[in-house]
Amino acid sequence: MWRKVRHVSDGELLLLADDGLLTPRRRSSALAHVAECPRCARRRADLAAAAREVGEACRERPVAMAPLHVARDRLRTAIDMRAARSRSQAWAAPGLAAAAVLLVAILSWSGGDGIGLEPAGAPAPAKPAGSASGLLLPRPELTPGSVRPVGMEDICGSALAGGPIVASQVPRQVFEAYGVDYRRAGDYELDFLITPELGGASDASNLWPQPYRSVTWNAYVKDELERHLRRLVCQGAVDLATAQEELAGDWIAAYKRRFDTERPLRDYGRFPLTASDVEALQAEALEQRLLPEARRS
Amino acid sequence: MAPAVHDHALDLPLGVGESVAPATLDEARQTVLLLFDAHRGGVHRYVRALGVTDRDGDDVVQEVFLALFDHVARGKDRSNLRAWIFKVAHNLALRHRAREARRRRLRSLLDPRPVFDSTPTPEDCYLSGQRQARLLAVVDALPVRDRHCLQLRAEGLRYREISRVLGISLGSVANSLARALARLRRADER
Repeated sequence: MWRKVRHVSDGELLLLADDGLLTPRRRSSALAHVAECPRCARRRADLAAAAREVGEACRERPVAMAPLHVARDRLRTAIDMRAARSRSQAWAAPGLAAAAVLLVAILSWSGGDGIGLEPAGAPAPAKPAGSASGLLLPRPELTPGSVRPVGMEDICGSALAGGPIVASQVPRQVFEAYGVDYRRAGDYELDFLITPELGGASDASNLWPQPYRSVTWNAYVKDELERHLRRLVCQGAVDLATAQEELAGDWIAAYKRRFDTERPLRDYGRFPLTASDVEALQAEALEQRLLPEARRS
Repeated sequence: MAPAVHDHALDLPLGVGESVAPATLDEARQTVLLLFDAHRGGVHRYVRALGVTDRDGDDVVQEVFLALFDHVARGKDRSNLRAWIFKVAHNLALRHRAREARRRRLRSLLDPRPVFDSTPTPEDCYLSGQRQARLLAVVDALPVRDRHCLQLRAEGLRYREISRVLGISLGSVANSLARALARLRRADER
């Protein structure tokens, strides 16, 4: 008597690859069928070969990735920062809950950004010496900003060639004026209010300590704005005086306006700089004598 | 040639659903870096298959492994970290893509200046074998789910893992793969 043969579907042939994907009964009947049916056996082999080939093609498709050691360093740094945060939270949790509540209240009041944003012209409140709070924007009475005479060729020629050198006593003067412990200078970028690349001068009236960490709007973010403004000046889209004024005024407002954003485009807390980025920045700072002696070795 | 991913290489020896004590931060870091070395390429390829550009791929991959660090440090389920990694990569890549699309739309409304072109360059697309290029062209034209299944299988994930990453049944995974392979075979015969 003629019996209708039930061939095994492609899906089921694939699920024969691992145990437990089909019910035991269906698996054993499918395997028995494949053993006797040359057509299904060939389909199974073809499917396996196609899967192998396309798998290789997908894995070998070129992908532009950062070199492994760079990506690994970057991840390790990010993990270390996160671990440090966890440790400090664990330390703060038992005894300092009330203080944390107070801190949250203060931060919420000051704009909810985790930082005490002040308008550039506002009088600076009293702060303990060395505190990073309040140093997000320079104090106008200490750092009004100053420029040196430059031409477009100086701005748009080779970067930093002939840039100003900061006199050796100036960094300490600036840190002391802002009440920051000079031994902790490595936590800050002694930043030019108006970047030398846009004609900023190298005297104390154009310098202020800007914290690298713990704040959203940090020195790296300001660097993005500076590079963007320089490009615009060199393209002729913005005149030099306007760019200088934007930096000397409220640079955070300028950043938001220029990049159409309320937040920095890159979250440096989450995606910190790579070791090579840090090296390059340190080299640049050393070249301009912006790092104290202790950091130069 | 990229090394083949072994099916069982990265499953940590813990039972399914087993809860474990939180790892010390150093242990968690070590585990994450180990898994990063083994899976970074596959995760990067997968998020790219989901539409993340190479430019952003490194950031998304880092975000995946930072999330893994939190996961391990808090002592969450470590029964199949490979599937966990790809699932998180899947979610983060889709979120990233949606955010990018929103940003592009907003920019085009606010500012008519051209934005960076995020399509791969000709160099990116360069492939040595014509046949391989043809295969990948067919892969790129597959329906989204079929393509995701295929890409995950190519990265060495097992059927159950794919089902877990994509949140679909085993039968759907098998049907998607069968459909995709049939289409590839048909294209090859032409």
